Amino acid sequence: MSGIARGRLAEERKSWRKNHPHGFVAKPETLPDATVNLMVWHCTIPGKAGTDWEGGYFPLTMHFSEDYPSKPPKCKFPQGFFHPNVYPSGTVCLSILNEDSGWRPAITVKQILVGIQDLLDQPNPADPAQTEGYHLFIQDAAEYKRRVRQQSKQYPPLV
Amino acid sequence: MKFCKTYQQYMQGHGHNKLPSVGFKNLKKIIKSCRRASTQPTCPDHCPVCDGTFFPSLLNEMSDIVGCFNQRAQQLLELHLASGFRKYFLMLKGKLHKNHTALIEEGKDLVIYALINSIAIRKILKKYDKIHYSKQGQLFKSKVQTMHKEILQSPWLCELIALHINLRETKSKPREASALFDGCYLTFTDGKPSLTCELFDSVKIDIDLTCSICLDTVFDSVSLTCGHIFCYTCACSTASVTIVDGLKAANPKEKCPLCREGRVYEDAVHLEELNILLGRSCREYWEQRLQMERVERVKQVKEHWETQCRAFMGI
Repeated sequence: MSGIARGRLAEERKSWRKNHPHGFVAKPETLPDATVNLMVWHCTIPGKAGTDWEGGYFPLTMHFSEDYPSKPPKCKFPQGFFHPNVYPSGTVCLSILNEDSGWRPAITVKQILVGIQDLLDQPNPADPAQTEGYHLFIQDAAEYKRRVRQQSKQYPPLV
Repeated sequence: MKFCKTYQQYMQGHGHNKLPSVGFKNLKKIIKSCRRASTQPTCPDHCPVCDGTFFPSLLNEMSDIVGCFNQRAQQLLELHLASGFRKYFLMLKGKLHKNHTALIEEGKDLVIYALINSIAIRKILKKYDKIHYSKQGQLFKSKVQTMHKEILQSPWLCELIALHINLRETKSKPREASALFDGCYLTFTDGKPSLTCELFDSVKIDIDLTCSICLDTVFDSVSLTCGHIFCYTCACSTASVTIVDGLKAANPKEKCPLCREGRVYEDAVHLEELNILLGRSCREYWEQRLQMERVERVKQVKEHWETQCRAFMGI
């Protein structure tokens, strides 16, 4: 299986370097001995223009298992990330990342990252993952907006 | 010329083959009679005329067309791929009388037959939806796809196109193309291959030859019953079976990686002609993949026999 996982990730990397959406970053982890670990990718998702998330560049780590692409990667924002569909641990709760519902091996890293960017401004209240983000989104729209803007300022672009 | 006329002329021209076809005129009559019978401007959800006549008739015709196409395509490919004793056996049976040009012609005719019928079906369903202001035609098409009665889903279409290119490129040039047929090609866009087939009236089909599991050109390609194409190793991996056990051993619950349809592995088809075509067109890549696959297969075979031995010895 691992042969397929690594081969696929090498292709994903090649495809990403050839063409990727503006503002996004996706790089496999570089280990202390300067070797590349294809099974962990460090990514950055820009907040969508014209939304409260604009201006923020949010770090995300993708962990791929040896069963990839049969099984989806685990995507994690930093711990305590504010969003109704992000667990307190930072794990993203999204249908296309769920093996039993929307995941298909044909889904690429590019599609995952764009899907998560869409999720930021369009949370799914039917599938809450954290209490605070969910309650504010449902009950106090103004405070929710303020928190989102505040968080966007916490993640400025890396120069 | 109206498509209906073109279609009828084509089917009459192939009358000697007694190929099943879409009863275009008959289906049009049914739609018209429904329009006359219904006092409402739109057809209700459950229309006795359509539910009882139009869709069942079309479904039967589609089944006949796909069945006939698959059977003939398989026979033709068997003739071309036969070797050794099999070839000798077919020769004795008198099946191998066809020369190279005849094979090309028959292959081309079958491809045209598949494409022209898929256009006919698409047009009649479009007409149905237009007259009824409905989406029943589209829904029917989706339903038919899950039943594997859609001719463009047939793995044999892909094989025939590959056969046509293989024969055309390896030996003598065939007779000039028919008025309907603009030809088949293997094209590369950004290094990604696809089979392209063009019919009159700029009707064009593209079959993507990139495996959506490894994101590379399909190697040792296999088509699942839903019509999606993958590398054999990749298909085995997603079906959670070893290369040794093969796709027949896949759990019926395992789904297609693209359309998530179940029960698609057990009757998967190995696309031999496509493999010949790609092996010839992407030599360097093919050799490289062959080396990698050998290593993986040897590893899996070793593991398989070790497991078998342990089980046998009761360890």
